[in-house]
Amino acid sequence: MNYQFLSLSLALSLLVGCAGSNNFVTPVEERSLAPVIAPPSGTVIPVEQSEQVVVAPIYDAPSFEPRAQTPSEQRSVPQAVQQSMQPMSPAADPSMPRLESSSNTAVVALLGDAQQSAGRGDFAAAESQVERALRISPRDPQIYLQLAAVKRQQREYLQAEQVALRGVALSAGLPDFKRKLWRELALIRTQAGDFGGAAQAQAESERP
Amino acid sequence: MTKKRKKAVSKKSERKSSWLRSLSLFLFKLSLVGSVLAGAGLIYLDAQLRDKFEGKRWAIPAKVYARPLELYPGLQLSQEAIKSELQGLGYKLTNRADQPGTAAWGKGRVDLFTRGFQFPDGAEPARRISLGFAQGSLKSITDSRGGSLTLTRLEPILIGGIYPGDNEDRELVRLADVPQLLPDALIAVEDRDFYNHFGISLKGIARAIWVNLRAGRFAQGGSTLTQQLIKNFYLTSDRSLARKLLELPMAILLELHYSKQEILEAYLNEVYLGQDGARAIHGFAQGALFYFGRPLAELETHQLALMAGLIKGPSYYDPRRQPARATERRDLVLKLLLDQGFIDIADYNRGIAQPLDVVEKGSRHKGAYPAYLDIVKRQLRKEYREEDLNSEGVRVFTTLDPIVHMHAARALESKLDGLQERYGAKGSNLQGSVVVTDPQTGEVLALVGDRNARFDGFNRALDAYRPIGSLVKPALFLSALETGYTLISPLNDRSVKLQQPDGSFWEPQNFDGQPKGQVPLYEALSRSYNLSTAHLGLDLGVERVVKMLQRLGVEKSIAPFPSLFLGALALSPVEVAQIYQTIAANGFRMPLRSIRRVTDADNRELSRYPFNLEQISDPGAVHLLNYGLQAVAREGTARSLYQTLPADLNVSGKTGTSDQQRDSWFAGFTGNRLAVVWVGRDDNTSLPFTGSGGALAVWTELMRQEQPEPYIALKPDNIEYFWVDPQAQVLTDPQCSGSRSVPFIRGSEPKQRVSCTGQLRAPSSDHSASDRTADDNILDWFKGWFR
Repeated sequence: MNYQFLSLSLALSLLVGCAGSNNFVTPVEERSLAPVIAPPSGTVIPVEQSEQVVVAPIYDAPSFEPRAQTPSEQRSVPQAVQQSMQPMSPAADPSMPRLESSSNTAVVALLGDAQQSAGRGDFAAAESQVERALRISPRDPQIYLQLAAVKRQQREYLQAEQVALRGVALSAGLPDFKRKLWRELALIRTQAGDFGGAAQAQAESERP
Repeated sequence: MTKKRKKAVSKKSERKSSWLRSLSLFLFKLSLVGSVLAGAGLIYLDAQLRDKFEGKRWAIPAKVYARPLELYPGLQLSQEAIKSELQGLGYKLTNRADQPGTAAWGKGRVDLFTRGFQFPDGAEPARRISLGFAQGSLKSITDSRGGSLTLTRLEPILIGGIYPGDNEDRELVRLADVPQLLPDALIAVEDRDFYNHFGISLKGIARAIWVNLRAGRFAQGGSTLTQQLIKNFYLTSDRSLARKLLELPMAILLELHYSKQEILEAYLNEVYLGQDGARAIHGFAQGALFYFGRPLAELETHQLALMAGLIKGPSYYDPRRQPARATERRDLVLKLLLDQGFIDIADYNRGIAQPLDVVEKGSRHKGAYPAYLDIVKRQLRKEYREEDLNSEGVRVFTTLDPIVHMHAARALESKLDGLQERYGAKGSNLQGSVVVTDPQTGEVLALVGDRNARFDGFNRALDAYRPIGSLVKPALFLSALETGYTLISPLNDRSVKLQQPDGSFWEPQNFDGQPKGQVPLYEALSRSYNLSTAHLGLDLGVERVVKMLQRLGVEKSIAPFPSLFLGALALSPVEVAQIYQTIAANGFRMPLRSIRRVTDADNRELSRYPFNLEQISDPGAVHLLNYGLQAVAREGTARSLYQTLPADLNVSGKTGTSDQQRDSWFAGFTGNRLAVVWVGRDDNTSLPFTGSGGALAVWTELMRQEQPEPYIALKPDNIEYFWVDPQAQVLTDPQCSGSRSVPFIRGSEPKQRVSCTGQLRAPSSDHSASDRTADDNILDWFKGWFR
């Protein structure tokens, strides 16, 4: 390759590096847009200490320049998450994010029906009911826990395991659910004959 | 009975006998043979008749339903949205919702009387409910006794059928479920002696002859309802004399075997009532939907009278094209009903004062979703025989959301119109397609395959295979993040040229033609730099990228050329949606589903398509990828979307532009909506805009209408956020210029810490950014001044 060119571009990129935060500004595909205004290099960008943060962040939010600290962390934690964090008075808080706890009553009712169906041995009906709940609140780990149990009872161990794993992925910040899901995974793997995997899952469920 | 038959036949031969004795003897023998043959023929006819009447009388096309609208307090649903849903269901807006299929509108409140529906997973009763709305969502559901309901659902909108070759569309109805006035009207208009004749009516024929003679032309036919049924039911439409002659004995046979009630019911379901393009409308149940958009049971007197009047000539009296004739005909039927005492004078006066009440053809949901029906049919045809689909009355419950579809169709149409206006001739003949799914469940909510969503032709959402350009990059970056790269790993963004396996040279360029030197990995993704991506791909190896695409859900074979790194891979929008679905669901691949259940006509389940998934990647790596994809929207090639959409939506997505700008793509998702948009031309010519100029505009407009939930990237256990200086790849402090909070798979974060002024500090492995308190940070910053 052309070394002169390379070294030139290297030098240029270094200069760009000196310019500080500016590499967020160069538009690439969309040049017709108004440029995003970046603070001059060298300025200290204060981290916004948002007063409206009512729900303690359960995860770190990514920061994006120049709109550092978008308010993402203060809103819309899945409803199950909020409930687990504020079990005492969820309704008292006027600035609760948009998923109301009331929408949960439908899910609770459906999961109750599903439990009854499963109790009668009607797993097909139970599956229908849990799936209906899943469509209403697809990020609620409780639903995955129950769906995994139904699939296990139907002896669909592969699917049961996958559903439970997805439940684990969705129960970030909800240690109780995570433990229950790992316990369910241990059960699934035991019944499927995967004793090594079951022991692992059991260990996960006992992790503090 | 045999006697009767022979008599009828021998009458024919007697007429033919002549004075020649030998000839008459011969003829007698001949007639004997003839009558035996005719008798055998009649027995055969009789058997056929019964077989057909009792067996499969009608081919019932499969019914395809949209998802039912689930109603529960807290649901995000505007009064406007439920209005369009109820209109789709043919609800009548009234002052008081006091009958099934009616709704009353109030401020912040909608009362409705549902029709009830037999769902595969249970019956939903017909009931009066009252919905309370506030701030764009459903606040309460109360039943007629004031009790509050936690969950109910409306009946699903019928979105189409799967018709047999002759395109007959039919909906069956039992006589008991038909408003009594309809059979009354039929008898009043078509066959006054129906309950008294034995299949043919001599009185009727005589009257017809008399009327025709007086009128001096053919004004009235003498056919009974039974004869009409035979004609429609068993005989082909050609009007030969032989057919006409067969009709009489068959009508009598039919009457011998079956009750008047059975014959009437068959008639109600058989009669031809109109034409909708290639689709023939048979039976009153279908007719009610076709003309009034409502179920037969809900029709009023004047509507029933109109349909009874249509039988005489569905095309001549077509209420849509010949409203005057149709009104006249309807009023005549009402008059006959009055004269024969079926209605009283008050009913009559009310009836003739009514408008025709016919719905526009276009307002029906049938025909509105050709692209979606296409994907449903393709799936069904893999599992069912065609004749089972078009004749057994199978019910198909899909995942289509008509409201989402409406938004997608509108967004595509309006934005393509806008682009055409902006670019003039250069922006002509634009086409596009949209796929919308639920990123959490994999259900396909809407599919638009043409700029005109109603156009039933080339389905671009399924069949337009186009190079995906930069949409491929997430697969490549996910491979990298899985193999130990971090979001701030420095990538080499310098020119590259290499020979491909087929001998051609591959020399990619950045969009602006400029190499960027060295860039952090997330930035190469968010800005869609091609050179750094190519270098990264070469480092990973093309096989690994092919594997990743397959893991993400691509099923077709992929040519392992380095040009794949920049999207030299032709996929359909639906295939792209599958890839992004897996990314949206933290690395769990779920097959896109358009069908939930299939049942037979009696609600027995034939197949179900349960929620299935398979983990294909570590949620930690996918979390990192989604950081990069959020950066695309936040500060990269798709940032224009935040000019329209709320900043806290946390969109994750990617723009794509193919070689020579032939294809404009955007694939992205929020918390509850994933959409892939393609914009291009069928003749594959260059576009005057990129992925962000075309497809992104459509995507943004769709989401503006949808008002979806924000995307929340849950943090897996193995992920930790650190404040870093991405250029220097060191830990730093939040308040430093250019510092960002970036996720790392635990242990992969930089080990060196640098103060805001760039001074190196002791490695800090046990303090993550999130652990550090503000006091620490201020102290560090302060200390920095004195070093």
